[in-house]
Amino acid sequence: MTRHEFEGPMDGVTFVVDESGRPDGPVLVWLHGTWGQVDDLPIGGAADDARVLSLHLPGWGESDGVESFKTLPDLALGCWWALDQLDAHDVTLVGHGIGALLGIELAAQQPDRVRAVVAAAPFGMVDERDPGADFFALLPPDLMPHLYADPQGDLPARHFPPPVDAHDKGLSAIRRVVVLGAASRFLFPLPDTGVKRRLYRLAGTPVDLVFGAQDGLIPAATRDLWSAAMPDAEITVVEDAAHMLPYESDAVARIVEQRVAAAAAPA
Amino acid sequence: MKFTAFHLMPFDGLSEDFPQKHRSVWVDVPPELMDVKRMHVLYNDYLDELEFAARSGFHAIGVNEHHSSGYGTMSSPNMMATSLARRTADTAAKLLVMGDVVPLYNPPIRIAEELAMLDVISGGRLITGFPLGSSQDSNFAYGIPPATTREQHREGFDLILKAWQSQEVFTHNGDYSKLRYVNPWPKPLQQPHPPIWIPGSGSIETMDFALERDFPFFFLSYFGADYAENMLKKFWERAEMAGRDDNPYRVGMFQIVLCADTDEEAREMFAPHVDYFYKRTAHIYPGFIEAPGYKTVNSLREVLPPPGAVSAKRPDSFGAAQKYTWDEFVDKGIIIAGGPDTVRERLESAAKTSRIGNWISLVHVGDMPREKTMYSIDRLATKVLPALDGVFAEYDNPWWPQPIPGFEPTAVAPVDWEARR
Repeated sequence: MTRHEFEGPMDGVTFVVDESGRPDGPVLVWLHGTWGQVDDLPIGGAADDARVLSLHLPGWGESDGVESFKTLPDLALGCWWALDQLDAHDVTLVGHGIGALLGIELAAQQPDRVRAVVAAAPFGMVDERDPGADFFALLPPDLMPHLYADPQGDLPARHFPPPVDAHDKGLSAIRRVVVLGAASRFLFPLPDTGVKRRLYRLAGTPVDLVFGAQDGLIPAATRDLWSAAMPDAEITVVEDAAHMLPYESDAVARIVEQRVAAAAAPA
Repeated sequence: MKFTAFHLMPFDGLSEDFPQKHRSVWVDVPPELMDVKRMHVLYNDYLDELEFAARSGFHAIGVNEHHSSGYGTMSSPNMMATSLARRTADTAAKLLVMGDVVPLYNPPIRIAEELAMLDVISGGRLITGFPLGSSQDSNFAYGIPPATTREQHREGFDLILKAWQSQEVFTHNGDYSKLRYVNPWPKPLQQPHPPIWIPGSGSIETMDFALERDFPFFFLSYFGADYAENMLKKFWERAEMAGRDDNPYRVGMFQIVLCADTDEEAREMFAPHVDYFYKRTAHIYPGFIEAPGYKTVNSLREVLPPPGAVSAKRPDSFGAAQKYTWDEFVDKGIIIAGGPDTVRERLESAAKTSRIGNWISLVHVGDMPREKTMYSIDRLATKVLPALDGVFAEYDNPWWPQPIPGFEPTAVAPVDWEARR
């Protein structure tokens, strides 16, 4: 893996991008989820077949300067700037949660540079009759059943290891404040960012929307809004998964592999 | 020392099993629990209690701002303060508005206008506080993103100060509000502006904010001056680093203070109401207390336990307080309560230890009925406050309303107070 660090596009902003995979493969951009998982990319064989660029979003720990981005489209422009530094074109955008929404925003801004979008559990729309669980309020024990279909399984413990002492507990609390604090700039109090008004820009771009049937943050009512707003999108609902579906199921990885294979195929 | 009689105006109809049946008294407290006919009585009783404190000799009376809460029902402190301004016009008591929560008013010149009106109506008796607002209020009840709450507070605060002082119509091009014409009419009577106190719950940013601007810092805590000692020590260290003097009026402390004729009588009279407060009106879902991003990472790192530290419930937490007895509340200094000598000694000792010049005294707690509140206020005003008059008398208090040269307040129709008692 090669780490790239760029200062810009504004004072105080830094972008960190991890590059891995096949340098001459099709470009796959990974946009991490709200809880900032970047160590274990759920993209299956695409990890070897694609030129993988994993963006650390400003404010989530490695990259800085989230306060310079007032809206999610602002942040998307910043991401494009980082991708410009890496000469990344004809990209397949793969994201989870806030990253999935960001991928859609990126595609809306520069559809000609986007080969496909795979959006797993995207935020961005809300049905006020069922807005989903308030993940900014719920403390970890109360939140887990909304994130995982099996909240008692190994996966939650791997993502959120139980603290060994008070110091560790404090660090976990700080990490929660860092990632959700950054997300709150765009998704609080309701994760409706007005993306619906920009979706017309994706006409002609292949889009996969993948949902977990047991996702407490993005309930069925929200899935229906996405379906109605993007009638041409391929929609997959994974029964035994919740919000962390890219890690709970291999469905997202399989879709990403197909998209990368299609991108690699001769025109 | 200066004493402000302060009130939260809580709802008193939460059942004993409220904490078991419901998640929180704040944010998503069930609407059906509110009895508005009872609230009519309570609002009027509570205003009477503050008016009585003003008449009895408290230096100030204070109101605050909370939303969607059975813990405090004053969603508009300015509305309450306006009523109090008129009905205490014949007293020397000042009016502390420990709202307005700046990020909740957009554009924030609404605050500049309303507080200026209040200062003019009251004849220059206004003291203002500009809290960031609790996370329950600012973030969860009013939807301000936690990570931008401080930015909005700073921008709004600066705008209000400029609006009060500018002698020209000006333009404000902020991140959170844009106004081509800023021109509040009238300006406050107190110039350049009414005294400003900055309340905070322990973040170093708020302390530094107060110090940078030379305003007093008020520590908002429900666990008393003893537990606040380290926090206030930190404030004084930062004050020294900032080159500020050690005037004790730079510090205020929020404190439950209850007084009867004897310690035993205080226990009998007030213990059930303290219990109600800590078990019911302080029953808040922990996730509502600090939305992620509300406190900065720097503030959290300040209190990060060292590696290997054992997890333990802090004694100064609402969780721990659920199990405290009256004696524990008193012995731990969480509340200052008892006969006049006990209350006076505890206040004086804490004031001298942490150099606290101002006390925001919560004179009503939980479901305390009007007659007990009046009783306690009377004992405090007649038997405690006069004995503490001399403490820190050698210091000027530049953060207190001063006489306005050439100004004579107009006559206001007197209140038939005895009939109200």
